[in-house]
Amino acid sequence: MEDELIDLIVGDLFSESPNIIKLQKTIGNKLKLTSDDADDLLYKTVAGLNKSLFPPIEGIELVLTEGCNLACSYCFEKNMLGYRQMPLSVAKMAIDLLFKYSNEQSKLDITYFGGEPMLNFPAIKFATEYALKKASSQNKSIYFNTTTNGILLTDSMINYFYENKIKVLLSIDGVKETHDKFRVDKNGKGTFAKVYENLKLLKEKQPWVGIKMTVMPTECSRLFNNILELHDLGVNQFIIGPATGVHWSSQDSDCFLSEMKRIYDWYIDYSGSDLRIAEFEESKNEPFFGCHAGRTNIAISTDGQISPCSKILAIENNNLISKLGDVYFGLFNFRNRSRLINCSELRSECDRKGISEEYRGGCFATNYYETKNIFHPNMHDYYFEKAKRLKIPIVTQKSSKIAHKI
Amino acid sequence: MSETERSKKIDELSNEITTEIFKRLEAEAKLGRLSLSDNYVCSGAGFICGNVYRCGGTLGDPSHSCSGTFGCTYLFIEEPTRSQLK
Repeated sequence: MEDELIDLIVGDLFSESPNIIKLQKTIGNKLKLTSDDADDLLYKTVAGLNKSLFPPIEGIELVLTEGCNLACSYCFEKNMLGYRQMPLSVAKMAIDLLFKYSNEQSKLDITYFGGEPMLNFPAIKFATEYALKKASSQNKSIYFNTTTNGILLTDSMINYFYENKIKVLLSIDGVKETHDKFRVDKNGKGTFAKVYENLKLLKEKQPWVGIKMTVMPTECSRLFNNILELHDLGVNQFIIGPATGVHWSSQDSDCFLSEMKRIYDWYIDYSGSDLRIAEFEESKNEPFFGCHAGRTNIAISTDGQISPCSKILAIENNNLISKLGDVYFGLFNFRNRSRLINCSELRSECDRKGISEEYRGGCFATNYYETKNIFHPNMHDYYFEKAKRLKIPIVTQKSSKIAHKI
Repeated sequence: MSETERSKKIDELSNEITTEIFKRLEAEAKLGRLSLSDNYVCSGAGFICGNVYRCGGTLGDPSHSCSGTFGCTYLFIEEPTRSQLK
């Protein structure tokens, strides 16, 4: 192999902005390959390098559509929303990539995300069937999830999810009074009645229902009541997150923490086995800075670009932050993947602020909202997490009793 | 050329290129640029892969507990900061 060619490949793949198309052409010309063969060679070489240098990929989020049927006022994807849908060919390549990059990993996750993923239900069906077939031929297990606003769910969709073991997570912010303030349709009409109707339908097939709650500062004082009422309505699992990208005053934060403490006290005393709030449970202490984004998990945009996660992707979907590659050539931006894995900048920033012993840097996307840099910690988040941990201890006795559902 | 033969040829080329690239990266590591000891054992200071705990993993050994650590040692392109070197 010519040194010059290797120099070219190393120079490009390990540069700040690899020009993969130019590299493909150069390789093709130098080795006298057809365009398809040059594509194939580059794809395999990039995959081989990733296999040797980085952990396997275990999960992907497929952004099946940029469209959404709602117009939630706080939506973190506002800048991303549009009309593009993921073609089946891109979904197929994304799944091929997951299997290629999973190496020896035998348990894989696929999450259907949007926009509102139900707007591209044909892609869900195609991806599920293609992935199941592939998993079967490679003796791997695959776990499917989807996050939906629940409005477009139908009987046949719910049956399909049930038959294919696709777990559905609903986005519900509270009971009608809270939910309808922010989660509205394009005409500004509240959507609680419809989502509740579909929650009941879903529960017939998926008895354990989890929801993702976004808490706006103005709704903090209702949080405890919202949880209690939603639990009465059949919700089993809660993922509670304060809204990002909106102003939180210190009074709002205090109110949120007080409500969380009330929920915690109730949760501790609750003896039933039909409830889980993972927020209060001991999480697996990951031995690294940052998170799984770009390390073992990736997100695929509608046009096949690869981002570390759907939240980062939503910040700027036409010019990805920390882009890792695309489904055509794989994870070819080695510098970006290396930065996400070694997190040296995030660790260094946490060191500089004196918080690295107790904080692993937080969520990349949340960091970006505050600091415009995914590797600069969001200090508001840090103080918030710290205050929460002081006020609310971690439940250890409960987590061992409750099986992980979602 | 059949599809199988074509695919085999591309696999061989890919392996050859990957091996050559590895040699380059390894040579850079040997120059001490990546703050590794001679036998390529992670210094364990945490700054190489971002991990908090010392894994003691050997470069190129995928069996140790911290998958990815050995990779990061190859790819630590930026100079470690002062605080990372404590």
